[in-house]
Amino acid sequence: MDEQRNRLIGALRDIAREDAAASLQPGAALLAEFRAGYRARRLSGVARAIGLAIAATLVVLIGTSLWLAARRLANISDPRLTSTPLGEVTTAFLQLPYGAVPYTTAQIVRLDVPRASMIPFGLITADAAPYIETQTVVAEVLVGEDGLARAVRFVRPAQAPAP
Amino acid sequence: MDDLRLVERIRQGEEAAFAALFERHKASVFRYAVHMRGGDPALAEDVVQEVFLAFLRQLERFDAARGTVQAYLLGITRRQVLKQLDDVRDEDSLDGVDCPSVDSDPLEHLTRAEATARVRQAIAVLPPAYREAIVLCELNDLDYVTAAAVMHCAVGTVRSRLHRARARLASGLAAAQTAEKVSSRG
Repeated sequence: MDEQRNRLIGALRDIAREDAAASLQPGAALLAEFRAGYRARRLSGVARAIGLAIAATLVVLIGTSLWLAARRLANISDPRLTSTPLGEVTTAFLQLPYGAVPYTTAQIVRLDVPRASMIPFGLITADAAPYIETQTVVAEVLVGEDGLARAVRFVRPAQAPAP
Repeated sequence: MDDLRLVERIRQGEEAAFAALFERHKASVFRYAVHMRGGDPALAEDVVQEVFLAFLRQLERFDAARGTVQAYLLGITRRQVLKQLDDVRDEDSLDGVDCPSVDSDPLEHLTRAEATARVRQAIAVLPPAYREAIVLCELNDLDYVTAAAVMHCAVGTVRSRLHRARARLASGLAAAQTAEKVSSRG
């Protein structure tokens, strides 16, 4: 019985050795895929870095604008400032990084933000217009009772051309 | 260099790291493919290329916390083989591969070669689940836990399948020898 078992084990080892595929090398298609895949991953990494940079810039811009708006609101207590006047066209509310944080009450704060703020939402492209860094657009930011911005929508007069 | 460092270097575009990983694991993948796809080495070599191609395409999905590189590759191999199994016809013929000679005794060499051929044939006719257990645990030396992860079953299932597979192989080997003795006497 042991002899039988040993022969089986020996045969299995021989088979494993025979099936070592010693001469097998990566094919041309495989190497091409490797090179193409690496290029794609590298480009994807660059794109991700650019996206993160834009998102970070947006957060800073909106944060700064909110702070300035809060200071203005402290001085001007006109409630109409938080409502959207008629005769304007707005986008839908677009979620911001803290959009998923629960809140019970919120208010809308209107402020001017650089047009570049619209890029991460796909509303315009970076090369869509000149002076994109210096021009501003009106935005309404939904701010929760905790002070965190949940969403933003962009506003323009009804008769004005789309951005 | 361990597998994880190789994977890291592959992600950084180092072709030599990919070549090293291929060299290290091609045999495991080949063994699985050749035994689970009817014993055709050419077909198995194609599977090896396809598996490493798939590995590169889903490189970002590999998570070292969920298993070894070998298990990951064998998981891909298993999926590839299962996908192609419908087109495969079992082939009972042997390819007459020469055994590497480690003995100086020609008779011993011949005996071993015959035993190996019989076992290879017996593996080919095992039920796929038993064959898979033999290929992973006996030919590829995977531990039961890793084999269970590749086979998507419990460790106990691997043990029982392996036990039954060994028993079938052993009895097949014994029967062949008995038949040989009877015929040589007659």
